[in-house]
Amino acid sequence: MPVKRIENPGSIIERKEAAPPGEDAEKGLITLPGEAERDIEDLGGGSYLTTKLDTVVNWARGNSLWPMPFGTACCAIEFMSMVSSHYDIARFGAEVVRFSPRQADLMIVAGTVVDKMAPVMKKIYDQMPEPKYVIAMGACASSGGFYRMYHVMQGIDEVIPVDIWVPGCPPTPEGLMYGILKLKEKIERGEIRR
Amino acid sequence: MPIVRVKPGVVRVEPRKLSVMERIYFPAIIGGMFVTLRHLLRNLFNLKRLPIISYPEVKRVYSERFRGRHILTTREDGTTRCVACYMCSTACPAECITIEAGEDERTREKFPVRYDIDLLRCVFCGYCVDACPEDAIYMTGDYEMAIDTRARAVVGLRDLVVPPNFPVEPMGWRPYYGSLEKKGTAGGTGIGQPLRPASYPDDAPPNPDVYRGT
Repeated sequence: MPVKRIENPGSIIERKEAAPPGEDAEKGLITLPGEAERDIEDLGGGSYLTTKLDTVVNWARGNSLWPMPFGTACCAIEFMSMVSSHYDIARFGAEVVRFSPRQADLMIVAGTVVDKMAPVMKKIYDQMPEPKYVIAMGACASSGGFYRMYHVMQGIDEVIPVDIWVPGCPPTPEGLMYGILKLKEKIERGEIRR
Repeated sequence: MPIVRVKPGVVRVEPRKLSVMERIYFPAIIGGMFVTLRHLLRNLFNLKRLPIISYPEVKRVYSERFRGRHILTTREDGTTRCVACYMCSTACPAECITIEAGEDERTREKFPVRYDIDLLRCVFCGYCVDACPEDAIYMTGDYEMAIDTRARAVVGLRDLVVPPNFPVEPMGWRPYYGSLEKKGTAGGTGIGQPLRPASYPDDAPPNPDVYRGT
């Protein structure tokens, strides 16, 4: 199926143009109303000269994500699968899995986070040096999943900001890798300013 | 490795004496480097044997029963097959499906005015597909669902409904997969479509790979 692309000089990643609802909608493309116009406004070459350094910095950041797994459940197994040789996240410069938050850029929250674990997670997030990114992996970390209960956090964005949500229970290694690639796109577009 | 008894219940384990080569320390390091180099060269000159799947370009083929993103199928006349019976949302363990039913003025038939699936709640168990009496909800083999805004996680009719006989590749968990003519299309299978005659005799044991919805 042909996909229309938008010219985008600020990024090496091509963006998809929002497809109209109905028969032409591309599979898997979920677009909020008005998003296409916003993209064109934001990504034009208007501030080309002044943002060149940012582009280089963002490119470097996007290609050297050091993940830290905050694995509390089965999603962490899929994370291991993504890091190991079949899927090999090293191809995107993210193979240096650090178990110390002080050496990591990207926190992958993989698994159910109960209320008692939330302060621990918050502390670990606070210990990470800036810039820092968070991926909520799987249903439990993203929204609580089917643990609609008093002791489970209904999504980790109650306490820490999340950049990418990866649905699935657990997501496939490709699904998580797609999330990391999306985060990479997002960083390289300079959308995350934290 | 001598074991010296110090006192009752406690022993001291003397470490093994190191040889001269081991105490120089560098031969062992160089040996380790050679192992690394050997693996590097072996992989470099035999790239086809690498186990890697270069994901965005090359994709692993998952099973036909893979449970990925949902789709809502349509009838041949273009109407949504879903009749808003709430079976899927009742079966859903995560309670991620929200349906609002409406009535078609002309045909007096129920249809969903609103059909939202919260992808972040969904645990992709496939119970909705099993529960559906109308073959309305299928699952695709699509796992690329990562989103950057929570609002986008809730997909509605606009994202779920596919046209009749829409080719869905790869197709995932659905009733009657593999047993009908039009494989890999949404809405071309199921109710109203002729079943292919069984290719096996009646007394043969059922093929476990063919799901007959019973």
